[in-house]
Amino acid sequence: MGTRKVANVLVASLTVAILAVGGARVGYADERGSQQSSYAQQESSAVDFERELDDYMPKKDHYNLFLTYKIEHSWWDAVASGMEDARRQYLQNGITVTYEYLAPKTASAEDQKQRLLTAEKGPYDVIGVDVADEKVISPILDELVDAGHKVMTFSSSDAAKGCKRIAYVGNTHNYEDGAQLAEALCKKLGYKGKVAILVGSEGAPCHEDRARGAQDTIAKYDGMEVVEVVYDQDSVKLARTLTDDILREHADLAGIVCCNMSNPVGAAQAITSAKREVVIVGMDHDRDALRYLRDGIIYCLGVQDCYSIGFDTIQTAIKVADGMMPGKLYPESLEEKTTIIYQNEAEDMLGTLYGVTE
Amino acid sequence: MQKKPSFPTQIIIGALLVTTIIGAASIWVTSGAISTTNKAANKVTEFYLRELAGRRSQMVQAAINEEFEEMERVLELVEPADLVSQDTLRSFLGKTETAYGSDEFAFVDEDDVVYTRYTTYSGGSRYGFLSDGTLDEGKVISTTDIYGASKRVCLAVPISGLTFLDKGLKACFVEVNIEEIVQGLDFDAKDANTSFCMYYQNGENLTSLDFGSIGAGQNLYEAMHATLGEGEWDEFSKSFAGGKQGGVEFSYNGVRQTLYYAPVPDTNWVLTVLVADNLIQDQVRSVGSEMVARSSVLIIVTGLTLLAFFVAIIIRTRKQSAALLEIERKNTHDAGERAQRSERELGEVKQIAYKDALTGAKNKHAYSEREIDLDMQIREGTVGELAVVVCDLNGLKFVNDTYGHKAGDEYIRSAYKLICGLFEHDSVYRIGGDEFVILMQGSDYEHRDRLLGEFNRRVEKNIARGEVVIAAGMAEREPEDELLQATFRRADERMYYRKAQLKKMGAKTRE
Repeated sequence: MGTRKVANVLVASLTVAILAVGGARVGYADERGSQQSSYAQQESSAVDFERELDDYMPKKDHYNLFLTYKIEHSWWDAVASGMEDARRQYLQNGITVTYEYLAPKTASAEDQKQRLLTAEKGPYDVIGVDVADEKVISPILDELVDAGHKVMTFSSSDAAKGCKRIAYVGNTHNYEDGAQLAEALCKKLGYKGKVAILVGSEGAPCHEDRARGAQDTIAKYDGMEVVEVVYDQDSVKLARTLTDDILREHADLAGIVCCNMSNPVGAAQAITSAKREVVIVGMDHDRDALRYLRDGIIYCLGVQDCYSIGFDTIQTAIKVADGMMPGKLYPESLEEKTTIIYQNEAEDMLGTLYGVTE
Repeated sequence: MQKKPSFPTQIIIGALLVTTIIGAASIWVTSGAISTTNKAANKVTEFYLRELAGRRSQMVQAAINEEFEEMERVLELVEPADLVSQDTLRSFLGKTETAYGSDEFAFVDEDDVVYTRYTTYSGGSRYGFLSDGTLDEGKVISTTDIYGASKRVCLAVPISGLTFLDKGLKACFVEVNIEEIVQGLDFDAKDANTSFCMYYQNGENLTSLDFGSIGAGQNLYEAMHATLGEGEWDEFSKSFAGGKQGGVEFSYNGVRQTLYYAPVPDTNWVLTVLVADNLIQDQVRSVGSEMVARSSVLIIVTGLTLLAFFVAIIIRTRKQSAALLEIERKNTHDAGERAQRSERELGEVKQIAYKDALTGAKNKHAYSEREIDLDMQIREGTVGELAVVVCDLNGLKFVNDTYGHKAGDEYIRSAYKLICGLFEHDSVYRIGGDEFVILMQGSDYEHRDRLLGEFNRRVEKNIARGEVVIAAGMAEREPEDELLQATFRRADERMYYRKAQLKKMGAKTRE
């Protein structure tokens, strides 16, 4: 990894950590200056690009994996970058890892189900799934396990509780992410105002969990009211259209909670176009979203460490393929962190993730 | 009266003046040479950068074309057996990568699924060219952001007639490491002052490489906006965004630099070259410094030479002056002696010429010269008050006849003595055998009556004693007297009158 990259990581680490507050695995920063004291407790950066394989010695020299996720989207392309680095490191150690990493262009649990049923017939050591809809997919996963396949989940959506999948790598705190974003919004609005929620893909556990966390948080405050909950299907275009509609419907809308990577951008486009004063909180690291954050259109963003999700997914898949079960070697559910960033960190994050200081 | 500087001071001032003139001339010539060299260096810099950027831009284009040609060759090698399964396709891709050294060769099917040697993935969101329709127009040169601050350049070629797993293959592409290409451009410019980089026409860095002092993540327009004036920046941005070749000078972080840019054909990329001016200007400055140093040496040597030359002149001149002074002093001394001697001799001659040998009084000749002088003064109106006393000795013939000429001579000397006893010695002239004239001026004139009265009393006493008797007649010069002679006549008349008086008193006469 280049010096530039290392420097970016260090810068991001410093700036993010300064603002970090939070729970056990989730770092949340506060705009009022409590970030400094929280920094000591939060040593890691928003995104860790300095990953190296652990000491585990794979049993084979070739692994073939099948990985499927919700939707073709740059968020999962970011996850793929961590997977690619892990694969390269294994190759340098003489172990070939091949994999398929596929998703539909439009989020669809049915599509995912068909992919899994097809994969069942393939020569895969492990089948990994970013669950599109836990109600639809969890039973399929159980069937695959029962059929002798090694199944794991990854990314942002785990299967339903009780599912027989072997392990999960990714965001385990989507509900908390949504709650924290909503809390930041409520505080910004003085705990008073009407709020809309752009969820994302209907049934997608990560999106739904964040939306629930946001709704529950908003419900705590008498002055706050959720006036709309809509599904944008992880589409910027649809998120823009939905937000336009909401703005027309609610002239006194005060805030929007965005639960995935696409809808903060769509919401910000609509707000900018309508020239309305609406506070937006949202998820992830879309380049345009970071620009809106830098420009003050978006209030805060929850950035997930996609790189580590991908990297750890491959590492865990190798162990699962070798028949190793969760325990001391690896956790059954490997949590990856989310860091809330504000306007003053947007520039550094753009540099860290996209190499630009615009 | 203003004091003139001494000769050595004049010499030193002269030497300094000459040195200053030579120094000023040298500086003028040197600065002119440096200015001319600077202008030439700027032209050379511009030419150098234009050539550098232009050639490198062509090299990038050539490298890209080579990649495209390589893909064409790979496509020609694909056999139906290679497209049976993931394993056969990956095996084929492995062989091509080994053969061509490419590790990112990929096929894309109609669903935008990308097939590489190790992975198969959905590429629709990663590669914009798969969904934006550009493939329909032929070869594609595209870049894609990769999470983690790097970019990939994709060179894609649309394909047809190939199917894989019942899906049509619509394209193949390679990912090119643009940074390696850019870094390879400085093969003959390996110095810290020359930087190459690649930007999009929108000013975004295509690489993660710093461009000189401009950070990798910084937009070139913004970086230049901070350094250029508004007009210059407008011109630059229009030229850069318009895909034109050009250059601009600017100062960034205190370093004067020249940026040259050339568009890479068939792309929206712009190859940029940055040269810190000190690369060439340092050379110019070193030439200039050398010229200044040589001129300084020239000035110092010239100055010292002139100083030594003038000091030698001073020393030599002083020696010569001393010798001349000695000669002059000697000559002056001799001349003085000669002059004194001549003067003395002349005086002696004059004494002989103007003095009466018997009495020592001035003689008739002296009186004549004095008379001429006074007549001239009368004419010029410069003569002062003047009186003439004419004296005539009574009884000289009697003495000569009675006692002999020797007694007569003594009688004359006694007369002169009597005259000089009262009148100014220098104004007494013996103009005949028994005749004296006194020219009274100054103090004698002021006391003329008293003096004449006393003179006459002494004469009258001498009558009884039988000593020298002198008849004296005095006349003052009147304004109408145009010649001394007129005054003389009146005095002479009065002398005769006196002579008659003295006769009556018993004085001896010629009769």
